[in-house]
Amino acid sequence: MAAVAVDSAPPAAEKKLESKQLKDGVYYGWGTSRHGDIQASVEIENGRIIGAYISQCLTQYSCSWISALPPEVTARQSAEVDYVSGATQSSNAFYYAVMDALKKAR
Amino acid sequence: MGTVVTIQVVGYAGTDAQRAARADAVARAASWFDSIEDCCSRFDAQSELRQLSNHVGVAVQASTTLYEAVRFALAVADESGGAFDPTVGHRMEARGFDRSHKTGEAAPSGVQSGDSISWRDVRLDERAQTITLLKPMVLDLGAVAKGLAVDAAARELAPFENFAVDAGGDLYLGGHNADGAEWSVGIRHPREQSMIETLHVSNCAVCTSGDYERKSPTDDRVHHIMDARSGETAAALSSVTVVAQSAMVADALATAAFALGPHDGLEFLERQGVRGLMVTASLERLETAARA
Repeated sequence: MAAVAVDSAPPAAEKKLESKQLKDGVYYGWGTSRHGDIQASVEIENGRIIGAYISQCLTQYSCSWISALPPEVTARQSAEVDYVSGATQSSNAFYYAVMDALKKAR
Repeated sequence: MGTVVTIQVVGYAGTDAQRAARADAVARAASWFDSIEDCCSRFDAQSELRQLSNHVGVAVQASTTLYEAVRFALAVADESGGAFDPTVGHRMEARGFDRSHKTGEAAPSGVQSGDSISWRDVRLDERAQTITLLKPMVLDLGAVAKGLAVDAAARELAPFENFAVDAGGDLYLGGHNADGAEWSVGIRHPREQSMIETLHVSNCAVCTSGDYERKSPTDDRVHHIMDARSGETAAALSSVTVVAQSAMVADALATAAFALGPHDGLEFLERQGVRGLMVTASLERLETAARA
């Protein structure tokens, strides 16, 4: 479990501005788990995430059962809602790999 | 629990004292997820739950957390006629769910249980706060523990009024969002990259059980929710969302309704007085009349 504590939310206008600050292109990030690493590739178009994929799976256990996850990143980001129920992040490594990639896109 | 937890508190950023108080509360809220996992994990041989499995036929003193989780899980088992049953741990192991989905490490319990195990084989003593397992068994509190942790986290944040706890899609929303409006919650479509519904809620929990969350590593057709009466994977539904006063209730009832299937599950949720939204395997939507 990793807790990400967000102390307060930016107002809605600022939130939209943040996503416009993503530069177009494909970015790679790495996430680490105790059993190995995952590389995610994240595609940005018109300032929005249009896809996130596992590009390298170096974990000891198979990545195939977390490969269903990448579309969730797109769904969560493009929805105009505060939170999403039902989108799980079963792999911390993938989540952090995407966050790592996004850092490069800013 | 294999999930990333997001905790958000709105406001309280004006003074150093406010920020410090907020940061302390958020840290306490986050720590509940680890402590409840330590207590209730089926995969950790040192957990209080696994230690309980070492004593058959004996009344074992339980922590309040474990006692409450077991008590509630048994109550839901009874209400659902056994479709939901926390005593199915050994059957989960046989179907490939024998490892922590967080670490990937296999952690079989070594308990040999006959197929005649059910929730009726557990006795509780409310006054003494003891749990007695009448037969060897492995309890699975997966449908209850995460909700319990979300509720405990929410209690830490209650003094701050406006906050959100998101544990991998199981949510508690307190007060209002940063815009002063009810929290908007999208329900993920079970098959597509879209939302099937947006809810606007305040001071309640929203939990979703889906067949897409966790599949067995050994058999792709098997996901983690089954009808305990038959032992079969619950295949008639793809997603169940419940809105309730607490996350423990929402989490467990969503799982139980999923196990019961579309018709019985919807009736079950109506009887429990919660709001439910179901998506069948053929992507039909069913909703309770109760709009909480």
